[in-house]
Amino acid sequence: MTTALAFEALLALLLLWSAWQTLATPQMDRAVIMFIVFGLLLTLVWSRLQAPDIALAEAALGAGLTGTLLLDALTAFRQPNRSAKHGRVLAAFRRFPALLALLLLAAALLTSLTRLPLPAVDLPAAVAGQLGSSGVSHPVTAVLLNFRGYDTLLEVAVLLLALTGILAVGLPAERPLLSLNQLVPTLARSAVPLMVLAAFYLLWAGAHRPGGAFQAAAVLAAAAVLLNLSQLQSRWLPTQHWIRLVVGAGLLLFVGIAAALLAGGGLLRFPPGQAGLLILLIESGLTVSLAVNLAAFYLLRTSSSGQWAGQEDSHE
Amino acid sequence: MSSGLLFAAVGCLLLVLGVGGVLLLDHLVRRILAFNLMGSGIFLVLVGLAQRSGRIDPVPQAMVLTGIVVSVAATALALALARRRYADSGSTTLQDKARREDRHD
Repeated sequence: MTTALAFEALLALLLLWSAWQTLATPQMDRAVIMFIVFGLLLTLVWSRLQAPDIALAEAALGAGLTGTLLLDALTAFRQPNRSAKHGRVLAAFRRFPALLALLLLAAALLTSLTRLPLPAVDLPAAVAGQLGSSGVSHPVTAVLLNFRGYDTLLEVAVLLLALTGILAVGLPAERPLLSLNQLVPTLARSAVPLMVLAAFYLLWAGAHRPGGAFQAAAVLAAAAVLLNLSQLQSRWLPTQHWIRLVVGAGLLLFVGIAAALLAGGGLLRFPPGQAGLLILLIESGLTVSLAVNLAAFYLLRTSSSGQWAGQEDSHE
Repeated sequence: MSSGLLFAAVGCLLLVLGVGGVLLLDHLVRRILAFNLMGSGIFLVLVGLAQRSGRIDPVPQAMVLTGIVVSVAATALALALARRRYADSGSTTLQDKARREDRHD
């Protein structure tokens, strides 16, 4: 018990330290690396909190994909004097009124945390009571796709909206790829088949143990990014229609099933007999669609014309 | 002190750190990082607080799972906006270059 507590206290300190370094370290690339370290430490925290579903998503998405996107964006900001601002971050935090306000906010949050009453509704018991009719036996999947399925429906819509927004903002011109160590393609060749296998496992396992469509999609998206990094797969172009079709299909399938069930009296209220099958159907569709959507955040980076959309040439 | 409450408290501190970063730092990528720290702090408060008595609560866990995916989408969009701003104006902050050089900070 004391060992566990000491480990958790150490983890908490490391987490805060890496978060501070993310903001305070003068070099941007080091800040992003510290953010990835933060994400991996957070993965450990989630497993300490007995939330393996979140730990999987955090490792693949929070640390992995976000880190890749950030590192990739940094190559776009080539500033000649980027380390000239040494110490400015600390100076910003040392401005007295700002520091005082932040300390007061922290104190207020921490005191209110200890004074909160216990919740009036016992949600874990409510979930356990309804689990039998949800069609799956893993409570987190039951909440995600059955009890609060509309959250997940809207989440898929948000992802689609973000991708639409990125396309509307415009994509930069093609940049030369980094020359890579021979190790990366070799790693990709042996890792990608295993990642595809792991994704199918996670999708299937989601019904009765930690896993599910989001984790499976994250692993598939990571596999696509890895293939691109090792130059085994070219970038995607916004003119490729299959991307739009696949990304839209996940949401359309979900909305279609929701609409078909509306006659039953509620949004996404599955009939208990078919719930398991319907959830598997939705999750399979979401896995492919979300994987392409997430991978597109990284792979869909260059416009087909080689220009920023809307800049100079207007035919795109 | 249960591990749920401990990490909820850490989440509060991360939120404060993130708020400070978003408000006080100039570089857009740094602000996006701070925004992500804020989000992670809120996720820790949601799950940690619900599990402070030591019982697993699947409802906030499912909500945080959704939240992580949404924050990746928001980060990707924010980075696209920051890149476009840099390509159009050469600036990595929200201030105009000319005005920043006037201030001499």
